[in-house]
Amino acid sequence: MSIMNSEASREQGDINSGARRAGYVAALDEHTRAWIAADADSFLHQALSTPVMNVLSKTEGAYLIDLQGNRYIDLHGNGVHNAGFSNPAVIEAVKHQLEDKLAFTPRRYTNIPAVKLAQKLIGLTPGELTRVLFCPGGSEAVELAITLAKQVTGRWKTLSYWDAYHGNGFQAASVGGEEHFATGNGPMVPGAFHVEFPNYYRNPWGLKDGEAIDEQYIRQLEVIIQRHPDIAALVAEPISATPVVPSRDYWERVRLICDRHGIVLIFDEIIEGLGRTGKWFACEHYVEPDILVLGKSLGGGLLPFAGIVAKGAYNVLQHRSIGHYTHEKNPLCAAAGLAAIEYMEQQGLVAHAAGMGAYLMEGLLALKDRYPIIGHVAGKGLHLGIDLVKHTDTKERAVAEAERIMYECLKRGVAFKLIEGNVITIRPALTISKAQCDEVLDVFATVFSGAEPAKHYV
Amino acid sequence: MEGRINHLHAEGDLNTTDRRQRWNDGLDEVTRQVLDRDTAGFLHQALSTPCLDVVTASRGVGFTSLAGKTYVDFHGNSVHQLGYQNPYIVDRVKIQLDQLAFSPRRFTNLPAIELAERLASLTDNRLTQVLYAPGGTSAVSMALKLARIATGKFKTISMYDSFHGASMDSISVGGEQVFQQGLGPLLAGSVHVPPVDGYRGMWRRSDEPWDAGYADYIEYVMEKEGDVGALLVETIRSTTVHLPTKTYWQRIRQICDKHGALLILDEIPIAFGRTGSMFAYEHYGIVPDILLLGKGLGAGIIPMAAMLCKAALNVAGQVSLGHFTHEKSPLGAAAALAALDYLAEYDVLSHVKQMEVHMRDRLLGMQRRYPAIGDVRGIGLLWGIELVSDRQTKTPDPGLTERVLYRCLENGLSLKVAGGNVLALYPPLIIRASELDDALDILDEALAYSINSPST
Repeated sequence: MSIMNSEASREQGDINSGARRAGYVAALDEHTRAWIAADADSFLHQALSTPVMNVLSKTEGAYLIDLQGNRYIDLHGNGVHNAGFSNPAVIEAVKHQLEDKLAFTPRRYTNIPAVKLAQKLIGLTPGELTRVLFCPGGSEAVELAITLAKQVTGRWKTLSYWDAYHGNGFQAASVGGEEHFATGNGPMVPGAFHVEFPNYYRNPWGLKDGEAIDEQYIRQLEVIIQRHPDIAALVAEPISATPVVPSRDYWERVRLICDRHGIVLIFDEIIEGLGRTGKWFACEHYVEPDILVLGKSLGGGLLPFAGIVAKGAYNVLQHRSIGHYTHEKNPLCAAAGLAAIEYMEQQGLVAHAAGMGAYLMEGLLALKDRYPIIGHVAGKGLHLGIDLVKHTDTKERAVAEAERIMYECLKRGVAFKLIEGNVITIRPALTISKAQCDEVLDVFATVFSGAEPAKHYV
Repeated sequence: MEGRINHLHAEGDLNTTDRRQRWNDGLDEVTRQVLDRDTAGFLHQALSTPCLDVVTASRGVGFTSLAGKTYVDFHGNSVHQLGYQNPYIVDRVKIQLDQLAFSPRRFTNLPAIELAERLASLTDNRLTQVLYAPGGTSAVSMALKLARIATGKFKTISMYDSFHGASMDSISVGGEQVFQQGLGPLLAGSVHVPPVDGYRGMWRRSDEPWDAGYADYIEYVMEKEGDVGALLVETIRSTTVHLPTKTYWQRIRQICDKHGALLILDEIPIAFGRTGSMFAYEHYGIVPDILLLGKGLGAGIIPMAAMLCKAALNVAGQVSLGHFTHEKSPLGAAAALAALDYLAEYDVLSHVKQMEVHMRDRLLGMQRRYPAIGDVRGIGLLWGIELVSDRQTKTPDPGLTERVLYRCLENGLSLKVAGGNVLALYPPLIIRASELDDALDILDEALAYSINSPST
């Protein structure tokens, strides 16, 4: 397997090697560094996690708090923090469920929290999405969706997008479009075709007109479907992780193509669902999928939980067990998910996300006018990204500068993850306040202006 | 369905039979209303929805239904080593909830590290590198990827009839048609061989070691395929309970070493004392290259799984095998640490060894009285009894097995049917002798009742 790249790819995140990481860790206190070393001794090393960059002691609302007591507004949170980190209402609900003496339910039995969460999701999701299946993790939920699509269509090919991440199982990694998760593994699940996701900023044809750009991306899709009309499912995030926000027209055309060819449209909203984009589900900006995949914040930021909500018409697998997971109807996870959703409803967090997203976007566009390193700002709700470039005309990715900015922001109390080497992803807790948004914008302004490197946390 | 085993039976009893319908008709109205809501909301599946009953509370060896009926649970999806709602663990989880429940990628936390160190020490520091995942299926995925990256080979050998999870990769290495059918091509290079079966298996020998032929065949396949990267096996097949000999496992270890294949042992359902030792491989005097843990690792409270491997396999630092959201869950780690503390503090392993003797005596006693019991197999508190219509021909009796199942359920013992005619019996490890006796009395009565009752 000599084809495997020897250097880690930055497509999915900032990597843990390099001088800046070493410098950052060296500035942490001795106690923290001892735990980082212990962690590196025990865990398998991985490009995007171990060796880690810091040790956490607490999380709270929009914040992470490290072992030294430093606080960071976290713009990443692995996507679990839509209702805020360690949300007291969610913690109470989980404790209550623990005290109510039902943390687990074996297969063949059901329980009321699981039924309530299923009904809640059916109520929140659009139209025909009326059948639920749960599993512990999003990667597994993506596989559930694809397995369901294969079973209902009797087909086995899939169509998905380059650069997408859908999880780490072999099927999820096969429909994913990143070198990092597929290369070096040998043969993946057969039949996984890929096309490019729309990109209005960096489209390969140098086009500026949105309609003309959509036309090219739709053409790519049609080229494959013409030769492989027997595709079971098209798997996509409605808005990409970078994020690119496709036009409504793009998804309407894809929806029509899927209908025409009997292709199941699967939307992976593990990151984007549950309020992130300023609507309960990102698909509400566009079209209704046949299967919606949820995860991350579904566990209330405390527990692992994921699942699918599928069209009622797909309830045809009474003779199969595509969701044969130990925690298929976990009442503790369901209690956490329900509490998080109810908290979001009570606090109006979905509308708040739309409002704070617009506010941040305005602030970022103002920064873009001042700092030419910002090539592009995009996003929807509290799912935003800043594309850092060396030059606004060439759009060359400012990879080294992005890493400097990341560590400088970290030392000033703002944590985020880089994607594709140069894109700052901004996905705070949906509970973030205007003042906290201002704090983020202030730190960005300081660091973009080329402030002196900070030696320690400031 | 009576009298016939089809592929659907492989992993469990089904929810589509007449007897299930009659069971449902016997439930009270409030329960049926909740079951209807459940049935309306969830995708239907052969082994879960529509469900048997509604559970509202659990404690110790079992749980209570909405109608107030109590069940002792001999199934528990194998998460219930330490029983349901073990207060020792619940307290520790609650404390952790107030401290730190989640840790995003690139950060670590103390419970995650402490658990990794503890798990390594339980393997006598033979398996020192750890990765966590939210579920066992994902742990299988990680192991398959690691094996490919470490060996440069993508082929695997695994067993027919095995279950390793429900994702495409774990379905591919699993050996059950019910999970594979209708999905088109699976993962390339997934070679299957027959699992050991000392009761009915085609290669069992009358002389010792009776399962040598099974190991011979694995070596044959390794030679013919030439480039197998890993052998993935459940150390002891859990649901139908088949126990290989020590000679078999030592031979397999040698075969893997000779052919440069990694030995991956899936102990997701059977670790943490189920077989009377912390890990099942300890019975066989071998150490795997990769060990997969799950289910009981989260102590029946939190979904949690792990992959442990030898230090020499720490070779995937350029990629992200375990890129899961809950990669270092402090809450899952706290639950697991509490479970391991409990196991040590209350010397659960010794208790399992005592209960094993008791369980064996009782089941063998039943076998002497009921000719329908063709075979009794087990170790620790992992047992299976095989029901047959004729001991000579060993013809499976799935009809009788289903009657026994529903009679047990009626009388408050929850268990699962495996392979169509095996009653799978996994009591919580913390079960007291008197509780075990009471449960086995229910089983005994159900056998007598079902054998004497008509088959329709």
